[in-house]
Amino acid sequence: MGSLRARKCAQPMDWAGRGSRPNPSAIMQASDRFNINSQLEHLQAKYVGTGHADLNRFEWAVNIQRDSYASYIGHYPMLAYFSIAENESIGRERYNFMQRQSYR
Amino acid sequence: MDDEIARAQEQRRNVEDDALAAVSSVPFDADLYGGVSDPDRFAGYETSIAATAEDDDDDDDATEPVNPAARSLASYSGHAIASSSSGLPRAADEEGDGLRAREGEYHRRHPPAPATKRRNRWDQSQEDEGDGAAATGAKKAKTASSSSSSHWDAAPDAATPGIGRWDATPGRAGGATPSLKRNRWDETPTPGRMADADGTPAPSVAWDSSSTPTPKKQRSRWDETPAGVGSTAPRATDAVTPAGYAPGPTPFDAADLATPSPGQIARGPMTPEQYQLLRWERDIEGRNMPLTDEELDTMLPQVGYKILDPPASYQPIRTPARKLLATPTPLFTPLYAIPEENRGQQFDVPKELPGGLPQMKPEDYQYFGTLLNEGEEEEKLSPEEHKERKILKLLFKVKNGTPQQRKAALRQLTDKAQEFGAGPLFNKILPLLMQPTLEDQERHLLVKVIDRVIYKLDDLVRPFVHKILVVVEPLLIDEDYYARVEARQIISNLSKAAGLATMIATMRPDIDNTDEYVRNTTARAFSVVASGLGIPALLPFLKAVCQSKKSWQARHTGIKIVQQIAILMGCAVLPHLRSLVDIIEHGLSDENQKVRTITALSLAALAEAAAPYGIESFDTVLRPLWKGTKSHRGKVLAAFLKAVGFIIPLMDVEYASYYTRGVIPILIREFQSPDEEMKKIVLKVVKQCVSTEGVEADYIRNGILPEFFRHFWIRRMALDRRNYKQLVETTVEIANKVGVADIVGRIVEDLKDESEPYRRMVMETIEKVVVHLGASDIDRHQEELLIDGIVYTFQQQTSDDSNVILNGFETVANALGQRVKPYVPQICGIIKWMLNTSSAKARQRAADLMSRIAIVMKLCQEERLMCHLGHILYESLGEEYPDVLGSILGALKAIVNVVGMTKMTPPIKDLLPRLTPILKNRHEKVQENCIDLVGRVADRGAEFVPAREWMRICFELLEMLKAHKKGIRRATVNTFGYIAKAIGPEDVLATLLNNLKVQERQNRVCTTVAIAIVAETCSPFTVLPALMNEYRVPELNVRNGILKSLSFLFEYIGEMGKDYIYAVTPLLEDALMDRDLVHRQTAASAVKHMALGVAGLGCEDALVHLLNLVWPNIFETSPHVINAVMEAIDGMRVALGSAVILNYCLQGLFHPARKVREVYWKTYNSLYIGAQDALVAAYPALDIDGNNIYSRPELAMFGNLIQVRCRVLDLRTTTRTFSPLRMD
Repeated sequence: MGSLRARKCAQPMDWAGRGSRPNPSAIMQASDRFNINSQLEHLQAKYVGTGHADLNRFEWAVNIQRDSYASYIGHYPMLAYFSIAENESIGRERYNFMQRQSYR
Repeated sequence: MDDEIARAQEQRRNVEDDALAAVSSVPFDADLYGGVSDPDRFAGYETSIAATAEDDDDDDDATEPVNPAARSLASYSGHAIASSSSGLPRAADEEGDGLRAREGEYHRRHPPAPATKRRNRWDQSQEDEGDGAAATGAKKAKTASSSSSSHWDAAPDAATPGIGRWDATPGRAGGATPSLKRNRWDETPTPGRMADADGTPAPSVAWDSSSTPTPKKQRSRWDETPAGVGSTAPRATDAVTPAGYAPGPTPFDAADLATPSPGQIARGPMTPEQYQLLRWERDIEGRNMPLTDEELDTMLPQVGYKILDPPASYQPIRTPARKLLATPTPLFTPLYAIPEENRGQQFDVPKELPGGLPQMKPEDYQYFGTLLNEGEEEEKLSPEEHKERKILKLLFKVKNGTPQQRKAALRQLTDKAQEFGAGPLFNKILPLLMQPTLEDQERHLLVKVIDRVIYKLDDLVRPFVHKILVVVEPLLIDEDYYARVEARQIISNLSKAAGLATMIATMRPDIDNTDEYVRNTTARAFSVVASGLGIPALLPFLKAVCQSKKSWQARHTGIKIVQQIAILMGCAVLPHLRSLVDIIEHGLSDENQKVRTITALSLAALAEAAAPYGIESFDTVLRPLWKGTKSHRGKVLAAFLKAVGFIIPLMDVEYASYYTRGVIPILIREFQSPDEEMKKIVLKVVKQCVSTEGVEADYIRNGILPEFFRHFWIRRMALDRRNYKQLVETTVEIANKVGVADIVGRIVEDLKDESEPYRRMVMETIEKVVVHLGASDIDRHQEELLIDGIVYTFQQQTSDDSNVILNGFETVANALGQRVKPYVPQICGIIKWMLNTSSAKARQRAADLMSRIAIVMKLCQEERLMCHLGHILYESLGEEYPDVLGSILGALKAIVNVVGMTKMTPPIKDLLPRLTPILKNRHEKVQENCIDLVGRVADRGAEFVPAREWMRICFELLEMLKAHKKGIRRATVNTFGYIAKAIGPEDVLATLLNNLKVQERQNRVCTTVAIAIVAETCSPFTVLPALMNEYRVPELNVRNGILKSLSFLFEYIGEMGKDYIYAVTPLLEDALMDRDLVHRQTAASAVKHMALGVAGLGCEDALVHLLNLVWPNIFETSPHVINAVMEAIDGMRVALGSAVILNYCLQGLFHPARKVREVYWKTYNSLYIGAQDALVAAYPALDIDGNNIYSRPELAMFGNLIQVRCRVLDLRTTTRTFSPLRMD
């Protein structure tokens, strides 16, 4: 699920004037530069949904929303559950969630 | 020092000038080869290159004048090329040309000399080219690394060598080219380089030439000039160097010169090692310098002494070795005067450079010297000079700087490339790249600079394409693989930047250059261009070149380009195969023999690259090739055969068999060719023909085999390694067709041949054949002969270089299986006898053989014999040679494995005590075999040995933990486990726990592993109490060791940990609150393993408690600690679920302190990556903020979600009150 977001969804920049991410190496301390943690942070930086110290509430919330919808879409039983609760078809639910992914 | 250098340079300059003035005096023997005194003699020779050489025809003549030196020197030499690359005039220019020509004249009087080693390197030595022609690329690649020759061809899997002796242009063929006519390469002198050669901060005093190794690096024709110049003058005046004293290859030994002759420097570019040597020498010489007149004046009274002229016959002793004996040092110093103090003196300490530049090595002075006097003249520089200075500085930083400096400088060079301009940049970089003293790493860096600069400059680079090529092309045939790769990279980028048109225009003149060397490099460069820009782009040009009417050289080069493209690009030629073949096909009927040869070779290369596809593209050439094989002889035939050999495997079955049948008679005829080259090709082609499907076994058996064995299975073939390998390969291939019996039947008698290399070749062939095909076809009689022969060979073996015989013995014995039974007593007799010989090698071989055939002997039910041998081996345990002892132990191990513990004789209870002292042996082979044997016994037959003995062994084993080899340490640690299982853990554990007190880390680490293994094998509960008790020892190493063992222990026992987690929690709790970092780190890693082991087993309460103790450590900065802590948290995520960890994280994600936020986000991120999906249910509900609605209303459909979160929080609050038992 996470991988779906991580790979497919490039972060759109229209809403993200605030979303510009500082270079992870810039916030890294000099002592960190050569050890395993730098690799760890590099790894983390590769995923869209990961955060950093300068992330604001809005950006984090957007990530949460998107992760949530991605998760709903990915788990068919969840979709089925929602469709029953909302009295919609499963396909409609999936479509709705997908739409909410892109601009919200 | 500086004065001396200046003086030395002055002197040398004089010498050089003298030499230039008197061109007539040449370094070689003028009396013998008269006529050299006439400087005009070579006036008629051209001084410029004519790219379109009309007078090439002399090339064709095999008996043409020979110039081996020039040939040998034609091998690349960096600075030599550089000398052609720039426009700086050089004093020696015209005269140099004259001398060069003269040198040619001199060498021409030589009988055609064998090619020198250097020449071989790129031009394929005789053996080499043969191999290249006949062998597959894979084989070459293997040989290439070891031999200095033919690296180039080896790496790109060249089945066709660049130039073989036999495909060579006439010049090469005789080992020479008439290079009287100089080409463009010779012509232009160096930019920086010529001056440089002399500008070396030279040793101030006489060089001891006999201890100066002759320059190892390549020399080139271009070096020749200064050499001559340098050595002439001194020779004329005081040539005393005893000719016999100087080692052979340095004919002009300037040992007696106070200054090194420029020749000596310039002759061979010096390697960095030589510089090192010189540096050292200069130091020594400086201390042993002769006294000057002034010094003598201060020492001796002025009155009463008279200065005498040396007698006319006096010759000073120049040779250092004799000098030592000649001048006895006075035992006291008469009239000693304290030398004047000179504060300004520099004692070989490199000058501190201004502006944070890196240290300058002496060999850098010549090039970067200007950087030294930076401060003084800064203001006076013109903007241009300023720019150059800047470039120089950056290059210097790239070359000598620290990684950071280098990176910054490289970036600056790249960024400002446009601003600096192509001219200044390349004028600085290219000569530098040609410095003979450049180390590999430095060259690599400069190549990187060029690469990036070219990329940046793009088409601005055009005017410099030629200069760059002149510098880079020779690297294409460098012996160093990486040099070749880098050269290819540069040329490829260059062609992309400059465009095809420029590249063609630039290299066009070189295509029909008379010098084979130039044409060769040009062909290679073109092939790189083709790979860079795509083959189609180059096709029209290639077509034109290959059809050139003007000169055969052009056609030759054109076709060679195709060959190189095939070698370089491999199967990527497939789409263009047809056009490439079309382009070169007419070459098969060219009037020039060289062209025909290279065409055939190119076809071979194309076919090899295209295999197994593309036969239809070769349709047009089949006929001419076919005809050619019938009409040609000698080298051309060899090339044609090679082409046919590579094309046949591409064909359909029936065609292949048709052609094979046609080609076989020719091959059989050529079996008797004395030419090595032909031999190799024939072998290769036979292999290819035989492996095609359509060829019948009967045909091979009757048609080929008799002749084949008559001509190839002779002793001489075993002497050359390449022949040997090729012959074995071919024979194995034939055997695959005709079966074991035929082949083995033919060669089995040769196992008793008197030549050992031949026997080895026979053995290797039999081994490979038997591996492929088994031994079931071998009949009774052959079997007898075979075993008899093998035994003979085994006994007679004297050389120890390979395991061929042993492997063969093993393979054959295993393949025969039970059929060996009749021979086992005989074999055992031999082993027994050999174990008692005085030769250590023989004893070792016997023991090795025993371990190899143990399994077969078991198969033959010869346990009794084996036990007997076991006794004998047991008695030989006193062996003093460690290698032999190791083998004996190995043999014993093999026997024990096969026979079993109970039936083993000597009985285990006798054997093991004998092994205990051997454990002390520090030899690796002994250790490894011994510990394996002991471990085996401990595993299977521990009950045969009293516990006391095992304890003794335990103590010995502790020492083994220090072994360098990991295998030994691992075997040792495992053995601890077996022993503990056998005698109970208590004693072993006590030993191990004591060992935690030792100092060495490796030892302690291994001990902790051993403890963990003991705990695992004997169940943790037998070990844990003692372990936890030991933790109370107030000693850091011990406590850390305990924690580490716990960590390993929980790693090994996995799920079983759930029974012990509550027991060790108090201990870990204590450890996690310790002041010592390492303590907490180790405890964290124990927690990680524990958590991972018990995930899902209901130990959450203890784990949450431990997490509460681990969590505060997230702020640690020490890399190992933070790493362990993060891993522990990750482990907790697995065991407790991500929601719990998220709740820990949420506290700090938006903490006012940035440092805190950073750490928390890091934790959050690793949590997120680990369990992104699972977090969806656990994210907090955020309040509405202005227009933004953060809530996730969908989740409200799950009514109980909130409660889930409450429960999690609940868990945290309850665990806070967890009250562990204190240990004390």
